[in-house]
This record gives sequence, C-alpha cells and structure tokens, in this order.
Amino acid sequence: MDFAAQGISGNFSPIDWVIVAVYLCGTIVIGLVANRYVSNMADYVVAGRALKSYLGVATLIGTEFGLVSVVCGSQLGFTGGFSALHLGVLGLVVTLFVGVTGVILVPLRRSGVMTIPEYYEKRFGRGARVLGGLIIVVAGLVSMGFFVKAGAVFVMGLTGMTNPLHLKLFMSGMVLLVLFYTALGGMVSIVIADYVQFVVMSIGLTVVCLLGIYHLGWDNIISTVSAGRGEAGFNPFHEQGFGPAYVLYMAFGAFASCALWQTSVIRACAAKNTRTVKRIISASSIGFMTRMTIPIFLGVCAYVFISQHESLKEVFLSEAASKDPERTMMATAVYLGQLVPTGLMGLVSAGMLAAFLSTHDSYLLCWSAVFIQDVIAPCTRGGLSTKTRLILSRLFLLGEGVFILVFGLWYPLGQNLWDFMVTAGGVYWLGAAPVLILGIYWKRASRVGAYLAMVTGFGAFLGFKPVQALVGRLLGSLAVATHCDTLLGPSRMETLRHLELPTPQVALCVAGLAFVLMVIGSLLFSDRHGPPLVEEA
Amino acid sequence: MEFWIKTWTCVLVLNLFIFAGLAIAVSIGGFGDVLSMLRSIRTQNDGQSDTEHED
Repeated sequence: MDFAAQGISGNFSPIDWVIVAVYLCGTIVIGLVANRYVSNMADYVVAGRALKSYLGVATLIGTEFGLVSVVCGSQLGFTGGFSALHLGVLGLVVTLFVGVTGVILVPLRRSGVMTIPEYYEKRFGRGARVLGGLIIVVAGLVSMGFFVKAGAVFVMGLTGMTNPLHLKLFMSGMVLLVLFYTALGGMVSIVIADYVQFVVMSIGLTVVCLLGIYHLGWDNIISTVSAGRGEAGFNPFHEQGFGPAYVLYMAFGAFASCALWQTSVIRACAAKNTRTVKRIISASSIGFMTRMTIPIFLGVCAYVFISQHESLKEVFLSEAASKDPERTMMATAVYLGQLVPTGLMGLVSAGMLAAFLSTHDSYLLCWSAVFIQDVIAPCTRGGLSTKTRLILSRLFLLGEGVFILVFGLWYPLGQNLWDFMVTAGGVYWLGAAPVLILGIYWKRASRVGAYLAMVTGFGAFLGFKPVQALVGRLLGSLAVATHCDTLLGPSRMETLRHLELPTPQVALCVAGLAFVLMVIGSLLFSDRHGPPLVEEA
Repeated sequence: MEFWIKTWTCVLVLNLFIFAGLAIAVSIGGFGDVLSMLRSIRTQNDGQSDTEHED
C-alpha cells in the first residue's frame, strides 16, 4: 500500500531510526554476554533454574506481551470496540486463579520436569512424550506462522516503509537477530532481553495511551464508538458482536495460555521453588490483562481517529477494507504513526520491535527445546550428549526461522489474527487440557485416554476458514460422486460447498470431545501407572 | 449500555495505574534479579568445573 499516494504521511524520522538502531545493537551485545554463561542444557533452556520473582514476571510478560499481541489486540479493538476488553478481564481473573491455586503448574514444578511432554512420559510412557512433543511443536509453529507477517504489517504502518523489498530485508534481519542471540545465549539472553523489552515497552505504551486520551478526548471516544458500533461495541455478549460462545472459548483460551502453554510452563519450571511459581503467575496476571487491554484500547483510539479523517476512513473503514484482516491489522500502526511525535516514536518503535524479538526468542527456543528433548532424544538409542543437543537445538532454530518467514507469505489468513492464533494453539491445548488436568488429578487416567485426547486436538484445524473452505469443497465433491446431491437439494449443496463453521463452537466441541474420550479411554483401557503427580508431590 | 461504559472505564483506569506500578517495581527489582541470576549461574558452573577437575 502506498501511503503517500493516499495522502497519508507519518511522523517517523531519521532520529527515530537511530533510537531503533541503538536498541537493536544492544540486543546483539546481550546475546554475546549471555553466551559466556551457558555451559549446559539447563543453563540454555531454563537459565540454570535461577529465575527470581521480578525477573520471572518481566520475562513472562515480555514473552506473552509481544508485538503480535499488540497487533491482535489492536485489531480486535479496531473491529470490535470496547467489548473486546473482556479478553483482558478474562486474562486477569483466570491467571490470578491459576497463580493463587497453583493448579497444574505447582505439581509440574515439583516433578522437576522441564517440558510438558516430559510429564507425559512420567505419567503415560515414552510414546505419549514423543506424540505430545510433536503436537506441541506443530501447534506452536503454526500459531507462530503469522508473527513475521503481523510484524511486517505493523512496521509498515508505523514507519511508512512501503518498499516491499526493504520491508522483507528488514523483517528477515529481525528474525536473524533473534536467531543469533537465542542460539548463542539461550534462556539467559532471553530473560535479559525480555527484561529490557518490558521496561522500554511498558513506558512507551503507557505514554501512548495517555496521549490518545489527551488528543481524542474520552467523551469523543465513547460517542464515536457508540455511533459506529452500537451496543455491540460495548457489550461482549451481544450477538452482533463477539457473543457468549466466543467469551466462553476465550475463557478456556486464557486458562490454556497461562497454565498449559509451554512458554508459561517453562517459566514455572525455571522458577526457584513452588512459592516463586505462584508469585510469578499471580503477578503476571496483570500482564496477561494488560497485553490485551492496552492494545485493544489503542485499536479503539485508532477507530475513532480514522473514522474522523476522510482520507483514512476510505482506506480502513470501507466495506471491503473492514473485511480484509491485513488492512485492519495495520490501522493502529498508521494511527500511531500520525499521533506520536518524533523521538517518542523511536522509543515506541524500539519497544514494539523489542516486543517482536522477545516473543520470537522464547517461542523459537521453546519449540526447539521440546523437539530435541522430547521428540528426537527419546527416539535415539543411548541418548544424546549435551553438545549434540545444543547443536541440534540451534539447527532446529534455524529451520523454525525459515518456516515462519515462508508461512505467512502463502497462507491466506481469512480471519482475525487472534482467532487464528488461539485456534492454531488449540491443536495442542484442546487435547492437552484433559491430559494434564486428569493426568495430575485423576488416578485412573490412562495412556489410551491420553492418546485419544491428544489426537482429538487436531480437530481444532476445522476452526480455520481456509480449512473449512477446503473441507466444504471436498464434501461437495463427495456428495456429487455418491449421487447425494439430488437428495440434499441445490440450497443445501451450496451451504455444504461454502462451509462456514463458527470457530468458537468448533473449538468448544473439540474440547468437550477430548475430555469425553480421555475419560472413556481411561475407563475402558486402564494401565498400571503410578498415582497422579499431585499425590507424588 | 451505560453499565458496560462504566465497567470498561473502570477497567482501563485501574489497569493503567496497576500496570504503571508493576512496571516501576519490576524495572527496579528485575535489575537486581538479572545480576543475581548471572552470579548464581556462574557459581553453579564454577562448582561443576571444580567437581570435574577433582574427578
């Protein structure tokens, strides 16, 4: 998109580029320094289990509050209005519940495992570990598939960098930078980079929010959303907005993101003791709330700002534009590019790029650690030496980098980025929820039940719009081939060919099915494994 | 709708205040934790290499 041709110009200047460059150079130094502290796999994956409360909070928020959360949240705020804030409230309430009770995470930390599949092996045998590890890596990598694209779209809107080649080179450079310092320093460099990102980003975003209220005016924000979106812009249960099924799905998603998602679990496992686990998770509940509320509010501000500027309104709020996820992803970045003054813009951009890096580093390290520790190592006779594990881990990191660079280029998003990511993660957590919950707290949970639940998680793929389109076409062809088309009639055939299933309902059905299959499988095929982990502890 | 407007206003204001407080506390406390983590890893690694030498 050529902003200049549309009459849109931003505030990004050479001074801002200098601020960004200084920050990026600092990140390289962190990788080099951290590398001196890494001598074994425990240093590399869980920073020698030496994480204390403040740093644990900074690194957990730093990872989960990335540029992608900013893009997702702002897109939801831009398209859904204030009602999207229910995601922030769910993040707070659910994470606080997990932190205070220590549910799942405390037993996992006590068991001394580093990854969730390690727990699977302790409870359900080696096969469950390998299968669980593979599912985590697949779900994790697919959910990351749009990270680079989302980052690129945001950088484009913020800086006004419209040359596609420059943008590709810049984003590739950013991915290389993450790979460089993650491969060198592992978790040690990640926690330091996350800490720096937390400081820069929290200052930048708080200032930007206050600036938005000051420029637009609170009453103006409320009245514009009310006029444009109606009650659905405020009430999350309104049928024309998100609706009750979506809210329920997101409550489950909030639980998964703090108690089941490997990047959260790895931090709990890296904590000094179980008391620290509870403290880190409880304090992080503020972060889990803020990572949604601030971006959503920025998205709402962008909606108000854009709807009051005719040239921007045509680009971002026309009938066609509001159905284009890439366009709605960019709206907040363009708004920030217009609002934030030079200098502060550099700080905000550095914070955003830091957020881009900090999410990538943790996720890339996490999936490579799971792949090597839980998929490759258990399949090799005699095990792998520390040196081999580190080399393989770094090679896998490189492969992950290539995958996330390529995936976003060919896959058509077709839905909100947040919904895509939650659904992709659902391939893992919709199946993992019963395996972990019942595995820890139900004595009779068995290996067969665990396998059934894990595999059921793949049903989450049906929540993707392009997959639904593909399934619809296949079912349509099948109906024609089996002569069922005459039986169904033209209108039903049309519905079948253009299959559209609501993502929240699909996910909730998959979750229910996974729980049922876990229970049935366990009751029908019990095994002689030890008691649940919570009793061992 | 009034209920939701008041709710979201309270949520945003409280969130901004609490997050600002948390950011200040974590920024100060986290710096000490970084130094402590690096010291702890160095001590662990020194201990390991001493044991290896003794072996």
